[in-house]
Amino acid sequence: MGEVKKEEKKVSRRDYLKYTGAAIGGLVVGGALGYVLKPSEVVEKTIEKPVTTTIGAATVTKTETVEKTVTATGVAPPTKVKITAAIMSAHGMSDSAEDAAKRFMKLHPEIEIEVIPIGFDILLDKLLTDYSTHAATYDIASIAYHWIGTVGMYLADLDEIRKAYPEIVNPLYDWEDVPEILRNTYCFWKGKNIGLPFVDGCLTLFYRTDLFENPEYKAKFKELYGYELKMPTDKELFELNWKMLRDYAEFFTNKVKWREGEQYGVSIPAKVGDPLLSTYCCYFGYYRRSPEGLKTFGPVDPDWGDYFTSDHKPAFDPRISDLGERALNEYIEMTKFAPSAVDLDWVTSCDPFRAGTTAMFFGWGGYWPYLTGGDSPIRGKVAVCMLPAPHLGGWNVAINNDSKHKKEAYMFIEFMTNKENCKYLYETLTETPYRWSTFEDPVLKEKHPDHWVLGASFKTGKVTTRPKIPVLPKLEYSMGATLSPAFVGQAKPRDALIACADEWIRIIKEAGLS
Amino acid sequence: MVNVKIVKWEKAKEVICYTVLSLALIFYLLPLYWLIITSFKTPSEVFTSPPVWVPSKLILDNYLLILGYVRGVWAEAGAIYRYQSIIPFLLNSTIVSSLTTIVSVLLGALLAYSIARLKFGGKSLFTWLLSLRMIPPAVIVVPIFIIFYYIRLVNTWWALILAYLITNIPFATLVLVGFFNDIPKELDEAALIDGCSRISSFLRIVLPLSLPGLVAASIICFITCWNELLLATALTTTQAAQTLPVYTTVFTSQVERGTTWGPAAAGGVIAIIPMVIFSFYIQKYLVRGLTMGAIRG
Amino acid sequence: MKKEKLLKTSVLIDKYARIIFSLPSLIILIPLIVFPTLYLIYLAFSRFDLTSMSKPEIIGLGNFIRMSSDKYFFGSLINTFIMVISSIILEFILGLSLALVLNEKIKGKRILQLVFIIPMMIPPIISGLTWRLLYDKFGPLTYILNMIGFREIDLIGNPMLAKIAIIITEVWRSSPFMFIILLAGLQAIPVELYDAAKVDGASPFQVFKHITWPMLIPAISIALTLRIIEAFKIFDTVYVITYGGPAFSTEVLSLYIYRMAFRFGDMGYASSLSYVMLLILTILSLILLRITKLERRMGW
Repeated sequence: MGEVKKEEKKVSRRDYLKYTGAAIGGLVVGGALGYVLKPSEVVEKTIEKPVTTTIGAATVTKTETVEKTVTATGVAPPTKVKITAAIMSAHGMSDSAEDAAKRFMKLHPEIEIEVIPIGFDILLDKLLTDYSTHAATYDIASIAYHWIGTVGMYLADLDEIRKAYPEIVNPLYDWEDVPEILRNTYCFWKGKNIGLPFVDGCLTLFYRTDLFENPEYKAKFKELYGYELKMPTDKELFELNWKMLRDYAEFFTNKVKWREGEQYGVSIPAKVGDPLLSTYCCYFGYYRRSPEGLKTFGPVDPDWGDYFTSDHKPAFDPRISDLGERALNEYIEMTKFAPSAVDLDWVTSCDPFRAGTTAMFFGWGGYWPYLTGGDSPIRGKVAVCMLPAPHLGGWNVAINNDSKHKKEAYMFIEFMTNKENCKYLYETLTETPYRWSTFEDPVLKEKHPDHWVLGASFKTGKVTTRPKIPVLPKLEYSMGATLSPAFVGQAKPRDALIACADEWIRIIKEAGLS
Repeated sequence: MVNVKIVKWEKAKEVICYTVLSLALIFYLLPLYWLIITSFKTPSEVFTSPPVWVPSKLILDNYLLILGYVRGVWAEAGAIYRYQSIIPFLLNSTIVSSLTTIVSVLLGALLAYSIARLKFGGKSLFTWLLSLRMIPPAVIVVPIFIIFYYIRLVNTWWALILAYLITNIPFATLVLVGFFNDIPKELDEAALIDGCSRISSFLRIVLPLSLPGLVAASIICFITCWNELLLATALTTTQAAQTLPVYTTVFTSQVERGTTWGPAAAGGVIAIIPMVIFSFYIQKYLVRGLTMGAIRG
Repeated sequence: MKKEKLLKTSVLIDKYARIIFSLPSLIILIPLIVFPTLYLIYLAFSRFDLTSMSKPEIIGLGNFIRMSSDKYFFGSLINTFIMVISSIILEFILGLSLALVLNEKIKGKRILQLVFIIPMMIPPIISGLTWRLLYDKFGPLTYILNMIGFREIDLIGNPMLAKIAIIITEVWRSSPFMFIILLAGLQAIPVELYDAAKVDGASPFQVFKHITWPMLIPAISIALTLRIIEAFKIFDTVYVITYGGPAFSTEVLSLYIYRMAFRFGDMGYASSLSYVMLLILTILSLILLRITKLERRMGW
């Protein structure tokens, strides 16, 4: 009896094994076969004519001489040059790249471009890994400008490419069309031209027109604070300062009830990491670029940014001047009128504003379509203007120094960032532009209410930047760790800033920079 | 008197048992339910207040999206929602896990035989293998990364397979030593005396009799490789070699595109299905496998 | 005579057989272990910053000196210990309760067992993802907490709560491990002991204290040992839910090393951190193994 039972058990286990083994085996074999026998794409190629593009009011005729490739069916097409581009995936950036790639591939059928969207949080890690291992997985990459120092030594010098292949350089590219600060910030590092500007972004102030133009509120505000409740517009430019914004925020949080339920004056991010680094830079930069700041700290070094003095010491150090502490206090106070700022990053601080619970919002200009399009609850009630010191974000596109297809990569990035595409991508995909020709285009100004801010920010001369040095990730991290206790009342701002400055000095010394 | 007390206790025990069971079931199953249900939800129902426990509309679009087809809700969404397809990642996971498992169990069986039957090594070998099993990936990731960087193996299947073999061969060996020790030595010895070679006795007697052990070791090895994250993220850069866990991290950093938790949940569900199936098979020998023979399940 | 001859030849064959059987695995294992270990030691004593160098250069004890005053390192150690200890305690309580319950006569034991081991089998990152969905500010848990009366609560954004969130997820994921081992241990206790106790009129608590608990100690010690060593390596859950935030409150050692190596590019320092982690873990395992005599149970 027992023996029979044992036999049965053995058999059933064997059956299990058989089925499992068969399943696994099947999967492996199937997978391998599928991988090997992947149908290769057969592309039908057509002969291209000279291309005329009409964008906006300007009609630009660009004749592209295209290599004609005619393939008869049954004959294998000539091997294409394949390049990959790693582009950040948020708010449509990789979509813009894909769109540009599609049009580029029509013009140059012998080049195939694969755009790989990668999330912001892991993009830097991936790039660093790829570059340092010389694996050349990504020929092109979109690089946030403050990371340029970190990966700079792995990027190709575009001038060398231009020298090697003079025929691919587009004479109509027009460098001067790009604002100088963008050229310096996005495109150069240690004197080399390592990238072309792709997406720019300034921290912008969004506000609710229905609240700020309401006569009742305006009267009440004048009564309480003694000056006009007003935002700068295209027609009437004036400079805001942090005190005014603070008053506005306080007013709409505590002094007047403009909504059922929760209401806040402002929505701003203060999350550890990129948001904290950038927003504080915005606050501090205002003082850094003031006459007093420039006198105390010296001119701003483009590679080191607004956080440093001209001799590369942390400028917000309370032991050098009290401007840093002042900026931090104002930032912290502003968060009191905002929903849980320390938990919010760029996108999540956008949502309360979009849901209609806050009167103002500090964010990247690129959020305009998200806030005003489709089913946004606040569409039609939003306008933008400049912050006291607009802080620069933004991305370039750069070529991997180990890429084997530098020529084709350069052709693509030059195409992607030329005058027509800058306008085109702005119009169709609302990608924030980076050229005067787009900023000053009257037709675009008519169509997009947020358009005037872009150029106006650069005209102020007060655009602030983050450090571009190699140890930037460590600086960002330690700033988060040292300053965030000050936001939750666990440390005094002055002490937090001293701790941060000491950390930064230590990090820089360890890296051997100065 | 004694009887009444016992009866009272028995009743109370029953109540306690069923209470604990129900609470445990809720605790363990609710998150899984939430994951599965989210994968079928439309984007507007993912985060609501109050939360939607039973969605009004179930859609397959999330699954289609991660398989590479933009349909239904995502096609209407207006923005261009396109994600990398999960299929290359599935493929990579399957291949890496399978190859690692096969090699580990094969080599492990050989080594286990020599330890169990041939008195190879001693306590020190055993301890060494045990310690290898326990190495944190964080410790070996940096040197392995740099070595693979020098020999250009980064972002290939082999990078992951070799890295996983470090912990899986010792593991398979230790598990199988226990199972081999269970097989009476007399069986082999009888075969040897009859003229069988060692290898033949290994293949014909020991191996078949330890089949449950082989299956248990294989399944646990497979699961370990399938689930691993740290080495996978560090050693791979594109879908040519990235595994399923890495694919999941793609979503958590693409949050900036707006709430796309539906597809993320769908990816999660796809990743756990094989594991749930395996847990059914392995139930019997799970304890023995996990404790490497220290406790008999 | 014949038997002697046969035995002699079998001893010879044994010698060769040993090599034949052991060689394949050792050929693969030993290089895979030796090279990285040697390289780890080399890197631990050098400086290799990927953002500005292409080759490591030796700097002696520099990394270790830096580590001795690195408050992030000690912070991450403390965080790791806190999370390990808290989750182990909770896992033990939960696992033991479940094991005790399932040891009784319950309907559908097998299915229940299957259900309860699932959280342990799924990829840790998926369990992290699942709980991330639950913990979200606009997710169900926050809603329920709000209803109970805790307003303005953010399970992931608040430093204290984030730790608790991670611990709960880890407990969910790993308590099945404790559960099945303890259940196996319980099932191994001979029924006769219980019957004898019943005859003697022992109360349930006495039974537990004098029979169940002592017989369970081997299983408990094994489960604890294996689980503690495993818990120390925590990475996936933190990576997906909080990535070390907010403000460093959930930064665990593995994550700190990973970040140092792959975001900051500081490979030399990351290696020295790995080295120290290895030392800590070795000491921990030696102590635990000593206490539980694990090897003896495994057959040695």
